[in-house]
Amino acid sequence: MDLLEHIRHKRTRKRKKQIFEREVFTQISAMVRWYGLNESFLKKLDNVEDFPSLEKMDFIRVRTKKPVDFPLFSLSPQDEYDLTRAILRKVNNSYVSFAHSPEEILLSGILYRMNAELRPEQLRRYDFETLLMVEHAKKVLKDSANQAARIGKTIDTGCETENIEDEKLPCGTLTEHIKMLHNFITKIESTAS
Amino acid sequence: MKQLLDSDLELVVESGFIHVPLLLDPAIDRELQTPLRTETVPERSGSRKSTAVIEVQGRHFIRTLSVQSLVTNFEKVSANSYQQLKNDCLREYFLTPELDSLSVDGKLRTILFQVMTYFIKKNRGLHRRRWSEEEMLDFIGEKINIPAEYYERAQTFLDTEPLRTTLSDLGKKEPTFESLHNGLISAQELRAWLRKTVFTKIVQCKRKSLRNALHVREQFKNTKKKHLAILLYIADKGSLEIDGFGFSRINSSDEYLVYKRTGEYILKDYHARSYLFPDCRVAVPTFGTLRPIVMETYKHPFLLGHEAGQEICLRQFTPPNKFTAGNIIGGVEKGINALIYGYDSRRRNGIHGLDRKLLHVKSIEFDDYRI
Repeated sequence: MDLLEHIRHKRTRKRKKQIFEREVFTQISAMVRWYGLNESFLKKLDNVEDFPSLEKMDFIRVRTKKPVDFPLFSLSPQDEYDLTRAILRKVNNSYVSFAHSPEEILLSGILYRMNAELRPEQLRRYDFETLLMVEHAKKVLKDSANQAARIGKTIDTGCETENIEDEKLPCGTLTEHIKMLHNFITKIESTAS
Repeated sequence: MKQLLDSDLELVVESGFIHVPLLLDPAIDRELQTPLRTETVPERSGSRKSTAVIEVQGRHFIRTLSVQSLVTNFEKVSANSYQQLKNDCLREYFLTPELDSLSVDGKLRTILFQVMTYFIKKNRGLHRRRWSEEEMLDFIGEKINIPAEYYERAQTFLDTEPLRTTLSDLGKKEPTFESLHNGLISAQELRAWLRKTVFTKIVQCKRKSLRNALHVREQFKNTKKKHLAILLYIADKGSLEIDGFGFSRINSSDEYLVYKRTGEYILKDYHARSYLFPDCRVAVPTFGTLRPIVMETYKHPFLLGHEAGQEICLRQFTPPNKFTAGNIIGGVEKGINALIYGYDSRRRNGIHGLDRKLLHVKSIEFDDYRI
């Protein structure tokens, strides 16, 4: 590439429209304003592990993200600015930029710890609660498979042939539960791809 | 501004400017770390060098409106609040708004006694001198019927004693102006101060206008009651037409359209066919560019379209901007001359020709005027 072509190429690249991406600060500060967050939210962030236990969650529920129209830029008064910065210091993970509500800010840390490799499409489409359920369902599925293996039975979720009736365990329920989890995971992962 | 004054924000007044709390984002925060841009101002400080962003008690404030400009332009910025304050002022000092609107001075006098006397000429023997003001008013008095109430008003107008008393009372009760201290101030405090200052300003303006009114009334001290009644009637109505000359006030301002009727006239086309043009009023405004216009919906070779208020196309004429009797007379005469004598049938000058039909260009037709 000679100099002239190089200059042309450089100028063309410069002229190309850049996709505008909002800063995380803009999103968090907008949520601070809309939801009237205050210092108590920081305390919640400290005790994020106390969030409703996942075992009690209804796995069938699939929540998509609420559409939110964040501003392009955000200017905050001193107190809101300080709070936003404090939140950002506490929630130091890449998922928080996909949060659309204070609950999602809280869950972003747990979700990131459980699976740091979620795709942006999934994070954009589903509420973090649902994604957390998926991660939890995967864990439960793994435990159930281990449990089944331990009692020496084979569970073939692909076909209907099972012979765990002889063990006097609630195997019918377990099978249904595993099926449900499997379907749930498949549904979330397939629609987001 | 209303939002600012109605808010519960804490503001800072410094160097004659209102400073509001600075809104932040990471970029601004970074910029604030640069020590050159900010300056710490101690509370209730004296005069300090003005900067855009100041720091008071650890908080940053940014410069916005000038206090002086806020007071000066309060009438334009917040018209409703100003009107309310003005009404309060009138109520508190027992003043009447009519005194302001009474305008028998200024442009109206020029039109009546300089322009009108030029266009309305009445031969009295061999004397062709211009009429005096009294003769003009007598002439108007003969032409129009003045209602009796205007004679009563003239009597009141000439009695300056009540006005003097009001002025004297106003001088005794006039509120004093307080300057705004530098430093932290709440929006409510600022609103209260602004209200008081604007109120003081209104009272001062009122006093000034009363003084002017008194001055005008003293000028008319030697005027006959009958003449004053005529003047008051014309000033109140804002329009008058006598013998084809007239003027009409624009809205409620001290601006007028001064006009003269052309009467019917005939123009000839290239083939010497006659066209009878209807009467119209050629007017010149007393403000802006003094360019002659036709007030009616009218068509003519020197007018672009067929609508009201069109400017007359004049060659080699630079309309003046200054209101004088001479400029008004010149404008009206130029306009009338152009309409009646300006069209040349041989050259077909003007925007449209009387007999020329353009195939592809939409033009104004004058066939309906042909006789």
